[in-house]
Amino acid sequence: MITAVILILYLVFTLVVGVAGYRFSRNTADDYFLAGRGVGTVVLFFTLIATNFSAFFFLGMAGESYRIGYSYYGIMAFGTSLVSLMFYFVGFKVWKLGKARGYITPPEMIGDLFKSPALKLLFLAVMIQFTLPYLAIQPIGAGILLERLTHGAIPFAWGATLLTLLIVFYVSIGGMRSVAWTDVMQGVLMFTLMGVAVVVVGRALGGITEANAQIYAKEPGLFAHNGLDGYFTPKRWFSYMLLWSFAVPMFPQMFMRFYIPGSVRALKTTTVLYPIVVAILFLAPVLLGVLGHLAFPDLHGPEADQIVPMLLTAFAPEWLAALVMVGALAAMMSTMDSQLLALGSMLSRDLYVGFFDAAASTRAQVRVGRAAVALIAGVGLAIAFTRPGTIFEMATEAFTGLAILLPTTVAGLYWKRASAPACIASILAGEALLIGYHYEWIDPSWTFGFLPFLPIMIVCVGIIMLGSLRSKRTLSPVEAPSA
Amino acid sequence: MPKPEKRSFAPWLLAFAGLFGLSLDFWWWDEPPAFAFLHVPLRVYYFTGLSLLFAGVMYAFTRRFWIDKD
Repeated sequence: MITAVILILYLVFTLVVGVAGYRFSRNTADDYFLAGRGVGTVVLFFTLIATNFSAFFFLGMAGESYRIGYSYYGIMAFGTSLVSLMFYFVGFKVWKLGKARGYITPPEMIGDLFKSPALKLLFLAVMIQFTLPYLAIQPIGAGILLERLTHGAIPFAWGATLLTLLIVFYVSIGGMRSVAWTDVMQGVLMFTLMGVAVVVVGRALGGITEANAQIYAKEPGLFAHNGLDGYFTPKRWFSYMLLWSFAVPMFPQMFMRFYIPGSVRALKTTTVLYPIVVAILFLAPVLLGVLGHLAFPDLHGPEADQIVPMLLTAFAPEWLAALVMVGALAAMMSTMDSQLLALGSMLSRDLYVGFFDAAASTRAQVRVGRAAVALIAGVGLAIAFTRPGTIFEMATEAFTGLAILLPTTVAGLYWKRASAPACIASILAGEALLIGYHYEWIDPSWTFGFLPFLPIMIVCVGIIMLGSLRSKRTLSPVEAPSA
Repeated sequence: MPKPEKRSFAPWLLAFAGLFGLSLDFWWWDEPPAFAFLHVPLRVYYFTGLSLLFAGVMYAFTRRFWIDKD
């Protein structure tokens, strides 16, 4: 009963904040898709963090720490911290360009910088294709959580559907403003409640120190520098350390957030705070994942993704478990709403306006955007029902697919000679290689021990450089970001 | 007219590369783990410290290269 009350209170409060965002909105495309480009420091900080921390943070990271051990923290904490470098080298330039030229979506900017509708369409297609599996992780997480929390009263499929419908509702009515405002509330909830979860589980296991000592005695591999069963090789470690910073800025929901700061100070503050928050917050899921071995020692594959809800339902009082799960739901919802809005905006602006109705009114653009949000949510939900792999596996594939867009983006921002045909070839070759590695049509030894992401990136960069040597773009990249 | 201040990027590149190099901590992979607060491997705190150090370098970098001129 108490679980239902806490859950309903949270969902109602989320709706209220979402509707409040709608009531403050003005009827312009900039306002619906980008909150009028006037977001301040606090909201920007929370919306960037909450958008980036998803079911992967609450469930996937704990699950992977359960499988690998404490070594997982290093690549997640420092690897993710490196993303803040991209806030400067990519984010700042994107912000300036967006402000000067009125871009709303990522493909819009790329298409205009290269004066190439074909490149714009390809960029759009890749962003949608590889955001969908990452989007599907969120209803998967919500389904798992609600099923655990209610002891099966809300089955996986119902939980995933319920949360998706709620998100579709407030994204559709309020756009970016509602999403950013709910992100602040959801960010505060998930930060606080993840910490509470560590304290509660640690105490129930007789103290974190004692629990760790016992786990070390049973399974020392979880404390090894290279992970359980030597999971990390130096080459794999090196690849993961780079993967996040290459991929995260290419998430459409993150890329679009570079357009929304009201001032450069907001983006700058977020850039500095991001590594600090990441380093502190990521301790929690890693600790929970490893501590889970003491209570549930025999989980395999995707089962380990459930370790946090399992620990809470086993050791926390019902009201507290419900409260912490609400924090997890907040993490998922804050990512999914941003993903839906980003993909909806792209389908509306880049496909509908770009190729079918160039003179579409703001009202028509928003209407198409809303329909697209519902459509994409349906596709994401369908993928979620199939549960294609562990949360970590699904995320890694999505990250690699999106990272392939980074060389094109950097070339567009910084290299006057970069040509559209070379960038198209780079993206097509990159995605073809990714598919080849995935289905093992390319011998795995051709990764040379690295993650496929690294040789793919080298090929992508090489194609752009070689293919652009003799070309000259008509449009210059923007001035250096230090201006 | 005063000469504009020359802002060299090279030392910063070196600093970021150095921090990245420190994250590739293969030199102690074969050592048995040492433990610290809460019986958590010392290496976990090493990466927390490295991230905080990175934030500090980013702060200095943004102050020098990212001027608040909207």
